[in-house]
Amino acid sequence: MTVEALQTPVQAERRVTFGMRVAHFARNNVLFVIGSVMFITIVLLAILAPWIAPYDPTEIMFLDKLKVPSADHLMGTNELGQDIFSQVLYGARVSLMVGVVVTTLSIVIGVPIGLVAGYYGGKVDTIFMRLSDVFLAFPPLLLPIAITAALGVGIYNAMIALAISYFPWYSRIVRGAVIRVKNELYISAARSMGVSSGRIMLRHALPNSTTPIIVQGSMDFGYAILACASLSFIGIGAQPPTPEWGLMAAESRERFIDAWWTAMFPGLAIFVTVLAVNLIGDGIRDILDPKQTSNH
Amino acid sequence: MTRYILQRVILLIGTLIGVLTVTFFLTRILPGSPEAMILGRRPTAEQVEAVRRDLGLDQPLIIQFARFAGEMAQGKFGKSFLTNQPVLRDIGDRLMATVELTTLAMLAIILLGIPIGVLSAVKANKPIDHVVRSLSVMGVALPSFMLGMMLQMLFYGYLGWLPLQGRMTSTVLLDHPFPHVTGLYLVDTLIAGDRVAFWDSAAHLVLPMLTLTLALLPIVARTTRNLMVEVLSEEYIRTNFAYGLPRRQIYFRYALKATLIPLLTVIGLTYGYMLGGAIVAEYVFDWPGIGSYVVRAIIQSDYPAAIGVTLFIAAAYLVINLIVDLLYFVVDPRLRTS
Repeated sequence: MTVEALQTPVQAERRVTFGMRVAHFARNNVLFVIGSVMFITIVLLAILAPWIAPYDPTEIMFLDKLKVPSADHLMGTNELGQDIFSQVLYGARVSLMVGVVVTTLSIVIGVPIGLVAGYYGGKVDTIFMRLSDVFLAFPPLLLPIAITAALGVGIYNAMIALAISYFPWYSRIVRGAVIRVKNELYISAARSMGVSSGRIMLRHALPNSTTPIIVQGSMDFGYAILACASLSFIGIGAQPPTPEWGLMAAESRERFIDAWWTAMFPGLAIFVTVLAVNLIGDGIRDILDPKQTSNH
Repeated sequence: MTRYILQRVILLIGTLIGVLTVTFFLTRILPGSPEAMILGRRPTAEQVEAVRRDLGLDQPLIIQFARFAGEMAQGKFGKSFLTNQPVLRDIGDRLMATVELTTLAMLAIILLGIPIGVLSAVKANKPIDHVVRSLSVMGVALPSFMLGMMLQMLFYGYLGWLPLQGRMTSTVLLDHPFPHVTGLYLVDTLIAGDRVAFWDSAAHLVLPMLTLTLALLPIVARTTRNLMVEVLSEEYIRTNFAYGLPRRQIYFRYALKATLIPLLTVIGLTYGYMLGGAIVAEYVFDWPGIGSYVVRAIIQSDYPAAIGVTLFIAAAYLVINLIVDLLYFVVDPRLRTS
């Protein structure tokens, strides 16, 4: 027997194609894959909204008001005769933007505070962390409501308010991670070589907290969409004629008992989007942080 | 133990000062200066100066803050622009409506959430566990206002079993007057012995309560499950099984007890979500509590009311969490001795 004859079958068995890896991953993370497919679809719908939407979402047609869902108006029309399907499509843009902006903003505020507090310790730590803890002392949703009240109603202020309410979580995560590695040999080595504090924090301490930041961020993405819809619903978030899902549900309040479609479709849109995001979030946590027990 | 309690109380006071500080700065960034609000358009420079001195706005910031904190601590939230009543009295008028709603919802969440969580943990990875887990994943994604509206569509619009909104039918309230002893309508109508009024107020309570319960049930059920799963894998539980103790006794007497402390923490946090959720639920159901009051205050720029209620709810939340902390002593005898 030649060497080749022995090796060939073994190699064939061992060859793991990219497709097999994907299939294996998908089988072990079914919910994550379902969530991702849903999410990608929603993103595509949001991007392609101007081409898919049959009507201008803000166009008022009183003659067509409160039409039952039909081939003309897939999700019916509201009290102003606006096409709900088109509004829901454009609403995806608003809600995805809210998720991205709020999550990014809270990371941008929270991470530096946590880095500095953890790295310098002592008084700086106490002051920074006490300050951000105060924001956690408010019941959830109350703080964004109060901040929006102070800044003035509107979707941009609502996003700022939500970011201010969420940033302390990132400060805590990053601070914890920095304190854990602060006394490691490689940090001392870097310092002894004259690497600047800023560079140590960014290049050596921060990467240790990326996993929990990603996990927290993926969760906050969904919370932000939900919370912003709630703020819009009670009238202090998005203002008309923004096609925001929470606002659409609020505008249907006078009519929805008879015209169920005016409330149902925007609500369903929020539900599906947040569900997709949460499934991805749970999946990311399971994949990146297998030690933590899954929460779904 | 006394030291621990003292520590907690000091921490609470510190946090309250922090909350006051945040609120103080919120009042500073309010659109429109307070003097403009009082004087209206085109005041003279002397008028502005006089009002600023009156309000203490010419003082250094730290003194302004001390004054603000002092007034807020005494509950002097000022007068509501809308009702022209002291905000504290407005809160008093509406507080019990919120207490009635949130207390019942909280009870329902605990009474349902813990058994569901235990069941899910005991049957971990069996069909019933999957059902519970899927439902809680979905429940978390459903906005509470949507839940409320769906319940309204079903029970009011389609079945016609329950009222749409409010705390009582106005005609019933007129025909069946009852003394407001506690402010809890269920209790007050019972004291008055008025059956019609009692059932009317109970019927009005069902949907808002159900909304809050279903919205927050997933959190408690899911946490109970995860804590239970962990405890059930402990060796002493396995030993209990080996002894042949009855399953019910193992689950509820030994395993559940071990989860009580983290569970209490979660219930305290859930109360926070409840206070936030109540704002939305009260708005959906036109429930005359402090949640719908604060929303109206904000939309109509009634700042004294908005700030007052915000502080009030935040303080209530802190006190509730302090009580939860103190409950640890009741639950865990080890803490009492150390």
